Amino acid sequence: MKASAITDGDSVGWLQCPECAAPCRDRALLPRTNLRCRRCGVIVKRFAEGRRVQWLWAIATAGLIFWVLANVEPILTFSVAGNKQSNQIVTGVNSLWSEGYDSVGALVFVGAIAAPGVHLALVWVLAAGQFWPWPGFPRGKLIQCVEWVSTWNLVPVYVVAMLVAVVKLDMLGQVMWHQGALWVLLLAICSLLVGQWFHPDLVNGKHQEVNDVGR
Amino acid sequence: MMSEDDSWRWQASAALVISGLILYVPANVLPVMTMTITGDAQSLTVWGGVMELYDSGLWPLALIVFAASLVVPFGKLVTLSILLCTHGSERYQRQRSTLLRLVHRIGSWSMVDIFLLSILLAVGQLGVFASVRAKPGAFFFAAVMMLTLVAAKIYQPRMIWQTRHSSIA
Repeated sequence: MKASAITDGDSVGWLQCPECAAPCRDRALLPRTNLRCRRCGVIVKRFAEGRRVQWLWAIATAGLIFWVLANVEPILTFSVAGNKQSNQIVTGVNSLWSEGYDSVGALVFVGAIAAPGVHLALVWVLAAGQFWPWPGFPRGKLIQCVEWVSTWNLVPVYVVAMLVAVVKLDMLGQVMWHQGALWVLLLAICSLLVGQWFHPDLVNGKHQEVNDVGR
Repeated sequence: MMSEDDSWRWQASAALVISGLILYVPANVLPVMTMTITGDAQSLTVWGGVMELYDSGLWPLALIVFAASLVVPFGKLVTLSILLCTHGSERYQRQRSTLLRLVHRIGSWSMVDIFLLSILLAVGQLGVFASVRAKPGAFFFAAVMMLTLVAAKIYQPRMIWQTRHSSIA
C-alpha cells in the first residue's frame, strides 16, 4: 500500500498513514531514516537512495533461472543399505498427493513451486515494462498481484526445512546434497532480495531510480 | 463502531481463529508422520520431531523448529484472539497494531514442518529398508496454518483504529 498525499492548499505536504489513516507531516528524508506515523508507528515513507529498477530486473532474471534449475535438478539423495532415493521439490508434492493428502500437497506446491515462480515472473514483467512500456500494460493489476503472491513465496522457509530434513535423515542413513539444493538456496536469496527491493514506486512507469518511497 | 462493510471481517476472522484453536489440539496430539527404518516403526508428533532433533545434539536447529512449528501457530492464535477481543477499544492501539504486523511477518514460518514432511516423504520410499508415511496430524497442522494465515489477512490493521469515537476511518 502506498501512502497517499493529502493536499489541502497548504504548502506543507501531508501524507496519510496507509494503516491508521492519520495525517502525517511530509518531510525530506535524511539517509537511513524513515518517516514513521506518530500514531501507530508504521513506516509511511522510507529513504531508499538510488534504488534502481535495473537491479530489480537483474535479480528477478537470476531468480527465474534459479527457479527453473531448482525445479529440475534433484536436491538430495538418501540411501540405506545400498538403496537410494533422490528427490526434487515436486517429488514431495507427488508423494503427499499419492498418500491421499491432496490439500497438504497443494499447499507445498503453491508455497515452494508456483508462488515463487509467479512472484519472480510478475516482478520481471513489471520491471521490463519500465524499459519497454506498451499501451494497455495492466500495471496496477500486476502490482496488486505481486503484493498478494509475495506472501506465498515460501522458498526461504523451504531452505530451513531442507536443513532439518538432512539432519533427520542423517540419523537414519546416508544423505548427500545435490546441486539442486544450491539452486534452491540461491532462489531463496533472490526471492528475499526481490521482496526487499520491489516497490510500486519503482515500476510506476515514470522514473528508473527513486530516492524515497512510500511504504 | 464498525463500518458496515467491515463487520464481516471481524466475524469471519473470529470464526477462523476459533476453528484454528479447535484444530490445534489434533494437530499436536496426532502423529504427523511415521518413519520405519529397517523394520523399526516410529510415530512422530510435531513435538516428538523437535525432541528428536534436540536429542541428536543439534539444539539450534531444534530451537528453530520449536519456534516455527509450536510457538508461532500458538502465538498467532492467542494474539489474534486478543486482538479480536479488544476490537473497538482505544487502549494500547499502537501496541496492538505492532502485534498484528508481527503476526503477518512470522506467520508463514510454520510451513517448515509441512515442507519437511514433503522432503522426508519424497526420499523415504525405500521399501523394507526405510519408509516415511504421512499421518492425519499433518492435515490438521496444515489446516491450522491456513486458518491463521487467512484470519490474520482478513483482520486488517486499520480496523484497530476504528473505534467508537474515531473521526477518521
